[in-house]
Amino acid sequence: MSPDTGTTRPGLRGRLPHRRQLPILTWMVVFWCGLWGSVSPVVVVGGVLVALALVAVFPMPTLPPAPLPSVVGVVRLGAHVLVDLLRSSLQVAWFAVRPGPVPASAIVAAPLRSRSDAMIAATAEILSLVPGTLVVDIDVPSGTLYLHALVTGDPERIGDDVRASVRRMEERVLAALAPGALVDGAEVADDVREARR
Amino acid sequence: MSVDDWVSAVLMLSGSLLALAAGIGMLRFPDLWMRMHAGTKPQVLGLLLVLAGVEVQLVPDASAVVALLFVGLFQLVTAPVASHLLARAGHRSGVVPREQLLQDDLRVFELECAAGDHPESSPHKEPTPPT
Repeated sequence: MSPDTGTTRPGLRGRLPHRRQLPILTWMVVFWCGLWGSVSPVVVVGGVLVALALVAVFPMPTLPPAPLPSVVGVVRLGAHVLVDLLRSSLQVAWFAVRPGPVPASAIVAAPLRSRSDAMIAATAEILSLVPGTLVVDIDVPSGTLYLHALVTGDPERIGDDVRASVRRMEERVLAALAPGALVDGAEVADDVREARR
Repeated sequence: MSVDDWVSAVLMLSGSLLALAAGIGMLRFPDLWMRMHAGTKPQVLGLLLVLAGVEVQLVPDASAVVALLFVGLFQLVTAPVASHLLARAGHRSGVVPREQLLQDDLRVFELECAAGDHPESSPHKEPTPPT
């Protein structure tokens, strides 16, 4: 790891955390205040101290500067995820209680276009909540997700159906979290591993 | 009963029904992966609906509302991770029977890895024994 990646290491000198750690610091303080259910000065100061200690002892891998998320994209992604979660819950609940056999299933390989660890993680996480798919394994070098899928339509087309829905979901994730990545037609930067070179 | 109470009742009852369906799915579904479908989707939405029903009752108390929002958020974030780890362990260990799968691209990939077709891929796994 090169010395300029901004990773904070534990040490007696107590170097200040890199500013790339600021978002995670802020989030931890907000979470701390939420758990205490108060924003009194004592709670806030305590939260800041705990957050600083945590990033010093467990430094997060810092990502290189990424494009700012798009607000419209994030709202659209959130709406899609909510609707999909509703649909998939009702679908699985129906399969569980309906009389008769449960549907068949398959494990399907679905390629992703992004090679960014953050984007692969976001896409995989969301795919587990949407209809019919569950992530079984991820091959990062080739950017391939292996998904367990319920066969609800034509069994011959299960692979293509899953790949099409993965493609659409990845487009939404990229539009929300890395706007411009698809417009440029380029693959999203190999962010984490680039940063470690 | 006030309007609030009715809204709460509908949310909590529908959430409980979804959680019940998830439990029935856990019992009825034939293999680990199908069960994880039941354990992630209806279960998560069921919990979110129950939380929403409780929120309606707590609404003036901001700190309780925020705490419950965190419960829902963390459920959404962690349930897929837990189910992914279980699903992967089930496949890698080879203990989950697979004859009911219509296709298994992951097994094909493992066999290709063992044959040295993907030298850059993670150096894991002997192909898991077919069951």
